[in-house]
Amino acid sequence: MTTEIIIMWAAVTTYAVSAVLAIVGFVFRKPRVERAAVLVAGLGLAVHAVGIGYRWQRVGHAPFLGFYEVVSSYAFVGVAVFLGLLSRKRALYPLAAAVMPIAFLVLGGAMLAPKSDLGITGTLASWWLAIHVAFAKLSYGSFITAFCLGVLLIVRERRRAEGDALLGKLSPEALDDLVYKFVAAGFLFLGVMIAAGAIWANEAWGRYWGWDPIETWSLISWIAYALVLHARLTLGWRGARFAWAAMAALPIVLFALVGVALVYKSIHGAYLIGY
Amino acid sequence: MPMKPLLTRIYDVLRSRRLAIALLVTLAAWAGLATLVPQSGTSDSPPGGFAAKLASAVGLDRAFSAPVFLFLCALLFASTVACSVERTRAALKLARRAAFLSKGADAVRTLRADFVLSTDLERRAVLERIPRAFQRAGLRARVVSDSAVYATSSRLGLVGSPAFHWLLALLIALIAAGQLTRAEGLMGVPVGSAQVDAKESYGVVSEGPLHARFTSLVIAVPSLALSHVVDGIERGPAPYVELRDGPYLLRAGYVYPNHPLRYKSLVIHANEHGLAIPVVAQDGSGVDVLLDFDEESCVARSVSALEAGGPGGATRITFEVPLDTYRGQCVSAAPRDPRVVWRSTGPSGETSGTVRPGESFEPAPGVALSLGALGYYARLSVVDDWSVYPIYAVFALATLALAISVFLPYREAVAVIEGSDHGCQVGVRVRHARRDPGFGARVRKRVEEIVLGAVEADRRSGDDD
Repeated sequence: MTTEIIIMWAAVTTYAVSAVLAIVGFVFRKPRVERAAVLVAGLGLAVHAVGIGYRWQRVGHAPFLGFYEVVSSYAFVGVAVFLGLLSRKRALYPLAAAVMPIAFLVLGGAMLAPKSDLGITGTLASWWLAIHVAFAKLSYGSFITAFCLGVLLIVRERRRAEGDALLGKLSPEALDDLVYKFVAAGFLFLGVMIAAGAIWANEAWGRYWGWDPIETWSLISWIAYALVLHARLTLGWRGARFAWAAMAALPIVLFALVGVALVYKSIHGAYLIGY
Repeated sequence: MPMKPLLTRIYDVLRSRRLAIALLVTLAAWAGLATLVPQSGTSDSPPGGFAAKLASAVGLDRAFSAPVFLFLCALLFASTVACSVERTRAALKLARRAAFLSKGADAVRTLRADFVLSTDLERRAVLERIPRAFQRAGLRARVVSDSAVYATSSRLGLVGSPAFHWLLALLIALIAAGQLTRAEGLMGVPVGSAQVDAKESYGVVSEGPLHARFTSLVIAVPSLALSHVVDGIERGPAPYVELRDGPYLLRAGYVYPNHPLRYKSLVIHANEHGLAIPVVAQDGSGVDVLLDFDEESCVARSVSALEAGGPGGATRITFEVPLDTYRGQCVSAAPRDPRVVWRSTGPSGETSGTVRPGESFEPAPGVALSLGALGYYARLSVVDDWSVYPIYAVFALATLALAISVFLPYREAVAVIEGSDHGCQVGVRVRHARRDPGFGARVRKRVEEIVLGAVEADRRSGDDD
């Protein structure tokens, strides 16, 4: 356990350094510093992967159970998606200034939660758990990326970008399209996550939907993003307006993920909060 | 001006985007508020005061079966159907248009161009290069005449959105039909005995208004494993359940979480287990008393009171079995040396006593009962719902349709070339199903790269000569 904690704190520290570099690089428009932030983020991701892998091997299951495992892996997916996106679109370096502080805060928050080992027993012993959680990570990762891209789009639209070493390479149209794509992908993944959870609930308890607070708030999140997509596809919302809508929906998803388990008595609470 | 027919006006309201958005917002708000109000039938204690009265008046205390919620769902269903019709019409129109244009009709020439490029290349050269440019933009191009090129993405993109909305409507209908015809109940079956799948056998049962009938199949529990390990994982207490139709064994197996027993639309889950003790009256008639574990008090307590008829009237008897402890922890299992504490309330007042299995006792004057051996019972959840697998199938198809709609939207581009051997103009019109402005820019970039780029390349090679 001590080795794992040391590795994970090393990842937190690396993300913190990356976040500071990214913000400094963005504020002072220093592409080199921004690139350094991304390099440090890559290093942090590698350390984080070792930490997750170490625990996976030790407890015998993927990061599915408890606040610490679940939230830490969200930070991992977020940074991995960002670096993957960056490898395809080099102009997105400034996104580090939005992604890395969030990754640092999320992983730092996870580190403060109890890290007790939760075993796979009873209802948890199902492949649907893996599918449900994997799609949750994909959807939340997509929504967080859409949020960060939305921030960047709003900043980009408000500033004159001529001669700007960082923002000048980003076209608002490309950013807008990326926000849409991540919202749409997250919406799709969230739907699969909800369905996988429903199938699993039916296998485990004999009912696919019970209006448990987490189920209800997951559905509300799905509806919220359906509204965001309708706003774009039928009402024609684009640019900053669409970005604001995509950003406004994220707190609902985060509440469904963390807030509901803290506020309500729910069957999911024990799995997610773990205490 | 003539009035629109009523049906048309209703349809116009239902297909309105504003109604769809308002419905989604209202349903989300209703569901969110419902999570703040304790729902009737749950163990949460209802709050008092004005807020509770208001919640009860609008139906928020039984939010997901309240008329308001059901009305909103019905309206959402109608709105989704109307929206599906609209999207199907639009898709069919596009498909017909695509078929018409791809035949090289002169209509292509009448389309308004989104951008026009001038080039020194002769028409034939441009006609050769345009399909390549369109292909680079991810389209399938076809030269439809000596002056026009028509290109589209996969026609599958036309199907995505209408299919998703139709499937969503079907999903709502299936869920509603399933809820109306579903039956779900909890029955306690003492180990070594059986119950018939009939309404009277259930302690708790909920039946949809259109549920046809219970199956009358026999559900038996010959044994119960207190610890059941599969693949090295502890699955908890697992009853061995048999489902019989008269003498025929239909299904059998251990039932534990994620491993129910299924037969057609019937699914049997293990819900809980407890103790069971047979109580026999003087006339030989008997009943199994079921007791649930209460770890806080470290006893097993009878689920319901037993009523025994006596000379002075009915006597209600409850039972408790104190449980063993191990290292200060209560053990939820039959104690090694069981004692049964009984309490009776009847015309002769309240009495109580302690007996052991196999002994007799008199809870009221003239009422003699004897206890059998202490055993276990399994509480089974039995669900009869045909709609579950169709719902899964429709959801899978809806997800596929959504993926197509999002990731493979229908795109179209038309190029009309006008000019002579000394240069020509290329008018290009683009169309994107989700009105992505970036698509037009991408097509333009490709056309410029390949058509105008070719001119530059020709010029450079001319200069070299």
